[in-house]
Amino acid sequence: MNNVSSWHGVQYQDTGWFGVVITLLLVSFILINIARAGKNQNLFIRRIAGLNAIDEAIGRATEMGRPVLMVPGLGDLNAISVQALNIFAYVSRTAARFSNPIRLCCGNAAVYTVAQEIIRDAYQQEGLADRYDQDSVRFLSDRQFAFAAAVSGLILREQAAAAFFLGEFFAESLIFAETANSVGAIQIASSTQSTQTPFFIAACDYVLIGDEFYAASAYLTRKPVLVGSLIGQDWCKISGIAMVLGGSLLITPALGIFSQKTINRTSVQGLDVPTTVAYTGVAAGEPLRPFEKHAGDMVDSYVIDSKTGEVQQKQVPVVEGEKVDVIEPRLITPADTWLQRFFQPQKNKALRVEREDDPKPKEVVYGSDPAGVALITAASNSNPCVLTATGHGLKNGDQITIYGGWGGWSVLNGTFQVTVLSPDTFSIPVDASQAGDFKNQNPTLAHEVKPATEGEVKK
Amino acid sequence: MLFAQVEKTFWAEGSGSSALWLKILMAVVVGFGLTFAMLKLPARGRRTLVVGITFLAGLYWVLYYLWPQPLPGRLANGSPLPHGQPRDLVESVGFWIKDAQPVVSDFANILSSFLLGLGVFSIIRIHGRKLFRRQPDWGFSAVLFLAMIAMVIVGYVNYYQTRYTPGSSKLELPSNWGSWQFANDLLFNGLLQQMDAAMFSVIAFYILSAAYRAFRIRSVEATILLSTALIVIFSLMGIVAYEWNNAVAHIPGATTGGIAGNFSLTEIYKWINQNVQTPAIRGIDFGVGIGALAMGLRLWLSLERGGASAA
Repeated sequence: MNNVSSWHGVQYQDTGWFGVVITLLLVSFILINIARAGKNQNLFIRRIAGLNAIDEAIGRATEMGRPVLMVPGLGDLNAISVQALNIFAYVSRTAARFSNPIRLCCGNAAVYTVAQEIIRDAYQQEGLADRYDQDSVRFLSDRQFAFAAAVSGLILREQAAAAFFLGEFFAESLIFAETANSVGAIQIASSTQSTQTPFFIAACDYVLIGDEFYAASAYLTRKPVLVGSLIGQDWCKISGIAMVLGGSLLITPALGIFSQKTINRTSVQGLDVPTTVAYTGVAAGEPLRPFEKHAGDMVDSYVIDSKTGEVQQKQVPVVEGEKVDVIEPRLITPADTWLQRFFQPQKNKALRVEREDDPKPKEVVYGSDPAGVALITAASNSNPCVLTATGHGLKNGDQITIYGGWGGWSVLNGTFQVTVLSPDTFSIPVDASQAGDFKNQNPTLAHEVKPATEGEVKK
Repeated sequence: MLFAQVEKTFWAEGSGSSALWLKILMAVVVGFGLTFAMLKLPARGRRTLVVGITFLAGLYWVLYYLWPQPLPGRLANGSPLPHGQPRDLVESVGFWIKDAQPVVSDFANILSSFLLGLGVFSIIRIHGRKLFRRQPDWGFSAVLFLAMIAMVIVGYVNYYQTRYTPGSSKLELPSNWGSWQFANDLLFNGLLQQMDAAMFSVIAFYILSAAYRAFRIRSVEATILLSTALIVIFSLMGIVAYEWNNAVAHIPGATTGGIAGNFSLTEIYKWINQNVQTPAIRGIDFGVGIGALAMGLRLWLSLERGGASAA
């Protein structure tokens, strides 16, 4: 009983609170460095070739008297497109000073609206509001290839001299880059999609790879908040590298706090998760996480008796051609240290059963404590369906919940009101006349049938 | 007896209930209040308002991902697990946040619908001017308007007919189609989809020309790129990979765990993929993730004032 917690926080079942703590740590690195940068103006950031080339590209466009093209990608209005627009604001300011025409093409209406504001602001801050042409920021289409066609057409018609492709790009990246290349434009590109980066590397003059894209505004403006944030990002990366190294060292001898004792339950594909829903997050009938094994391998199989809660271990050979799914629910024992609990969160969780006469929901504990669980050993092909569960302990009108029926018998899954026929049998208002042979179809199924009684309730 | 609970939450009042009307009224009052405040406040106050709303909106998603969520289990037939009322504060907040998610998403959807209108207005303005002033390439603008108007009219009539007219279910079969359905099919499947596909296919040619330029041996990096690419390309060409692997297999010890076995094309490709490409991409993605986290933080906490646009 002591190994059951309440049933919230289910998203931490797999990762524990470790992920949240790491996220908070990374966040604190960034915020600390932003604060640091406010006081100390001389923090170092390295040079990035692609960003040095921005002024060169705009200068060239000015010499040629041709426009500068900017595309913030196809993404929604998010951190990526806002960052792209920040860089474009810098490009526009420089272009404004030289009275160079710009074209900013948007594939998303929200990005377009924000882009208009940002670019207009950039011109105003330069004191050149009169040079701002509101048609220089355009919405083209939010359909991927219509957008690609429109941008390509614009590049060809207006013979852009410099092209900036920064943001979220997908298959259209190469269409842009090759078209701009064909008119001889200098291209500076970056995609946060790592699958598109190689295309840009192949086709563009300068590419900002990965987080260089996010470093750009810090590099261009040297504003303390941005520089601090960039150094915070570096701290995050260093800690990431340290964790990879530390984890590799610790896992190598499989010693220390990272080693775990796990209990595996196996089932051959095609069968359900056996018996009751012992672990939340894995409902009966749901496929288990696949874990490849080879024929002849012996697999530890821990079968949890739904009645007594005893865990029986046996070695099971994997039969050739069958895929064995292994899940690793881990029973937290009192011997576990808090550290182990932290790194390997609890898998034993509780479900609830409701009774109509008791408005307060009760918690019935599964897995290690099988109270409230009984095995259905037989079911009739009739309407109403008569179920056999030895010593079910139900009374007329009880609400019960049944899990784990599959195939024709999935009609049993749900919550029903029972009519008790005998101490071992009861009926539920379900038409199971077409459900097939219960025994043949469900040899290992157990169904939770018993509502919580006071002795079994865990608060 | 299956009993399905009608979900009635803070975010979803029953249809026509007085609580619903009250909340609608409150939302309208708050909306007008905010608009009025935005108009009347001086720039500094307006900024505080924007910062506050940004923070609240960001806070919702932070809580949505980090606050302990209620159990999302379901039965084998897909129906949700029976659940009761929250027992403690953590669960109450968890349910509240979870129930609010569709509503908050709707806010974003409604907003982006309005913005789409602005986008369409931009298109109409630019191309309208081009058309009426007979600027160069005005013919393309005329085609754009024609296509846009045709698509909107045909799309709406077809939508109405296939959904709201009596016997509309018959229209699912092409044999029962009328002229509007054929027109819609022609415009959407016959033209739009085809043009999309054509644009996508163009990439194949661009890959070829880009690859040609990338693989020209200009530097050490380009040479490494070329040789790696060749290995990967060959390993994916059945006959070449087969012959190479066959040749390697004849080296003594290659098939019995000897060192020569590592030089089969498949093994080299596997090594490149697992030990060079995947770690590099993960490293890049980690950096991008951290960058997005920092950017998101700066936006959420309104630290990013004007970004690169400010002097």
